Amino acid sequence: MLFTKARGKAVMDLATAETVGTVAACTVAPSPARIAGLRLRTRGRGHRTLEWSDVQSFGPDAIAVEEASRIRDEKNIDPGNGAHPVHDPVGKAVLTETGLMKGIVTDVEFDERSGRIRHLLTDEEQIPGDELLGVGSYAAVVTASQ
Amino acid sequence: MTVYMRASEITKKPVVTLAGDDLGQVKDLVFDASTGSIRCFTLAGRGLLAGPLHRALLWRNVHALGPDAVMVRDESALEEDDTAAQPSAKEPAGGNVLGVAIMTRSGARLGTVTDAVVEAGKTPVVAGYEIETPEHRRVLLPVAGPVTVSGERVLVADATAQYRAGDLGGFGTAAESLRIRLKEDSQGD
Repeated sequence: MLFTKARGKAVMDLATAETVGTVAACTVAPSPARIAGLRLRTRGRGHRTLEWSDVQSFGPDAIAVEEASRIRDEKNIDPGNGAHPVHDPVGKAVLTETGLMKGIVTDVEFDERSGRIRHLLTDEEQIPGDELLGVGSYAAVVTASQ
Repeated sequence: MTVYMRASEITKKPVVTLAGDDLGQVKDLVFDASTGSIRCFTLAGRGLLAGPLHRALLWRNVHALGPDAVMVRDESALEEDDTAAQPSAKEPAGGNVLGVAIMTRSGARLGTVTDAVVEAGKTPVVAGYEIETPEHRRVLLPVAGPVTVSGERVLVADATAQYRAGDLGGFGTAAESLRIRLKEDSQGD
């Protein structure tokens, strides 16, 4: 699934059947490249974060969570945690580990069951998830292809 | 393909960890007058109003030098302070290669150093210098073989004078020809 297709989907609480928020962005972690968390837009100010491990199922129309109490204010998340908003790749530059810029991340193609990232997409190419070394405040760093 | 760049082009480039975080940008290069290579970078914070960081990045801690960023493994690649950037007492010339005369071993003055040419990649090295000739032309001079550097002059092999390039595009060929020539010379002995 492409992340742009997941954006805006409702997150529902399985205990109350209520919508607790909508998906706004994703954060990724490397080795293996995977979705680490989802940033949610909820009622009220600021974003909230749902860690991927707390996602019960990622359905075609909505995302189910067992306990809404698992959704945390992103201010309380440590930047080292893969779910911290600094690890959102979309809109960031792709740099190879040799310091060459390869475009801007426009989308993330991932497996909605495992959360594994298949490709990072830029306007020019698809970069396999295996090549991802990390996403930080400045760029998504990938291994050099040669 | 080997990518060459002028050392002055490295300034303003972001310093990025393999985790994708930017630690700052390159403010200045500090040359090592005893080897003619680059000893370290001084850094500035990112952004319009950011000042100097007062943390040096040693050349040997650079993971890779690329056309768009200077890559380091993580934040521990930076020194805790910038003492590495201060000229040491052994170097009365102030620890800079720029402005120093460049001469062949047989005593011909080729010009003064205006910039260094760096081979980018995972083991970046100073591959040559940009010099201003006595005729006030700027040319790129590859260096290979024995190079001796003092605060007064950079001494290069005699053959170096015949291999120069007008721009970075031609520098690779000039550097390669010089390497082959020096190899042939040493085999001839």
